[in-house]
Amino acid sequence: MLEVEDVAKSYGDVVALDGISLSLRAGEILGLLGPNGAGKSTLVSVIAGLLQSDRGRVRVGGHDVALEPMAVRRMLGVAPQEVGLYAQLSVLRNLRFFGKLAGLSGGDLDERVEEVASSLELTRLYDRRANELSGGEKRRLHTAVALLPGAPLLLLDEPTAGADVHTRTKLLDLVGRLASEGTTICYATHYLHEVETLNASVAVVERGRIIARGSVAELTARADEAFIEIAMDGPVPAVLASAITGSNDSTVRIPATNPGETLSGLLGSMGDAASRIRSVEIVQPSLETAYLALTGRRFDSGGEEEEDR
Amino acid sequence: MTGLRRSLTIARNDFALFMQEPIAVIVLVVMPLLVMPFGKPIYESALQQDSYPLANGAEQVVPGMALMFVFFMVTFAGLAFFREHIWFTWDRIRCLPVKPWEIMFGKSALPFVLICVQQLLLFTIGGFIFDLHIRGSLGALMVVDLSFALWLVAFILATVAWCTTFQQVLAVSNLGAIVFASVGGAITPISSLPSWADAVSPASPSYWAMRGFNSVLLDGQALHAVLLPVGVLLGSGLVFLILAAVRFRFDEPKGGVLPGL
Repeated sequence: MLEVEDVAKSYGDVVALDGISLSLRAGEILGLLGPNGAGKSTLVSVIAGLLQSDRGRVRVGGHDVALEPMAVRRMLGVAPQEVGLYAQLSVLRNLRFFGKLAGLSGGDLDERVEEVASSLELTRLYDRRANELSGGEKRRLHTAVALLPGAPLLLLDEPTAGADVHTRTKLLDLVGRLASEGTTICYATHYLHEVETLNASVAVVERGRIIARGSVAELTARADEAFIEIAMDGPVPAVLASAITGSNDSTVRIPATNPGETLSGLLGSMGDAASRIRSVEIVQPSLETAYLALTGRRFDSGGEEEEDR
Repeated sequence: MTGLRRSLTIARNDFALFMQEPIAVIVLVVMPLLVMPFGKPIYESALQQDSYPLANGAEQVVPGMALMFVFFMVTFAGLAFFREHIWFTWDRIRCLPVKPWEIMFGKSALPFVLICVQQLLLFTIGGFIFDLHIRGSLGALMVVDLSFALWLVAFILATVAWCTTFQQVLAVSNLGAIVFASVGGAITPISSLPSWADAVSPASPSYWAMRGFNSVLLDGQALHAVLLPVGVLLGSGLVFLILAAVRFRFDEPKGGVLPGL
């Protein structure tokens, strides 16, 4: 359904994409993972035809994005990262406008709007202006617009950014259902657990390159050790130095096959320094440990990346 | 869905947005009507001295103010483009199967209609209040005005294509309204312009529109007498359309601080 071959894109001296290649089969969900500035949104924009790549080729359903843009757009549903809505117009008016431009009309338009709005709990908000919606409702409407064409390839760029728990759950359920019905989905996100929930295949994007590609299970298997993260008030004690895999001035990460046993030993050997422990976290083998192994960095639960110094 | 229907969908959406706050355009009708009575007596004597003994000043003040104030439509139409970038709806539309010309045509439709409506209202209301006599062909008058409306839409497209911030659009709109009206004979009758203006006046669209209006309103002429002004307006409009087509980049970011957004 989607083939990306050696795509490169620079903004002046800044390399956003550096020879990215990937392919997706019908019904596959691809989780595009990476920190801010990794190139995820640029890649989504190139696939959507919003940006021209400097090099390489993108094909959607066999159509070249650069050579057959209209054919490609008929196969795409896109929810860009930024919420794009007419704030002064009603929810229904927004849906009908974008639905019409997507090629729907008459009864088909009515049916499709109703179907999409129902699936995202928007029907009761039809008459409300978009600028009167909550953040989560706006995000649902934004995503609904992308779903209107019923396109075989859906590009969702951080669809749950800033969304409440209810909206996030609703969107993840919907994405899973659409994929099971055959829609191919490219899902750029900050949130590792969303990719795990969706059981998506994963492409880890780092500085414009894909540094890892595979299923969640495949990537997790590459880093099958848990790790213990200890945050200290003040400097890290010397006794932990030998075990450190990543640190900044006050935080250490220690790989551990049996984290409970390792932690018990560490606490005993730290002596008085143990009183300066601010927090201890045991991170079990997961996509997060895989990401750490690949990049030397980890995500926090809020989705913001924490970089080692 | 045909291309024309997609353009109409875009135009209807712009109309719905316009109806949320039509005040900016309503002002473009009210303001000139408020200004007209102040200029009429001056124009009356100026035109009578200029071998039009039956003129009452409305022949200058109505079309002159209509031409000057309609130019501020550049701001309104520019806003309709630039806010799409600020609202992130421009890229949303570009992701859909809509051709660039369909977007441009759709976005041009409402300004064109509003220009025509503004001119119609000013000539009708202004004509009624200030006793404007159309001595020549009404059809010729409409052809001149329609040509100016088409010229202005082409100018708007070129302005939007070349400007990257809304502040630039605002500057073009304000400067254009005053300069074109001044040197084009919309504020002062063409015959009363200083001699140095002879060289620059033909560069102003207002000059050609006023020449056409004068032929109909003062000289009582028919369509044949306005063919040159109409030809110049349509020709220069075509040049601006080409300039717009050459420069327009659909993936170019546009921004600036937009009023009320």
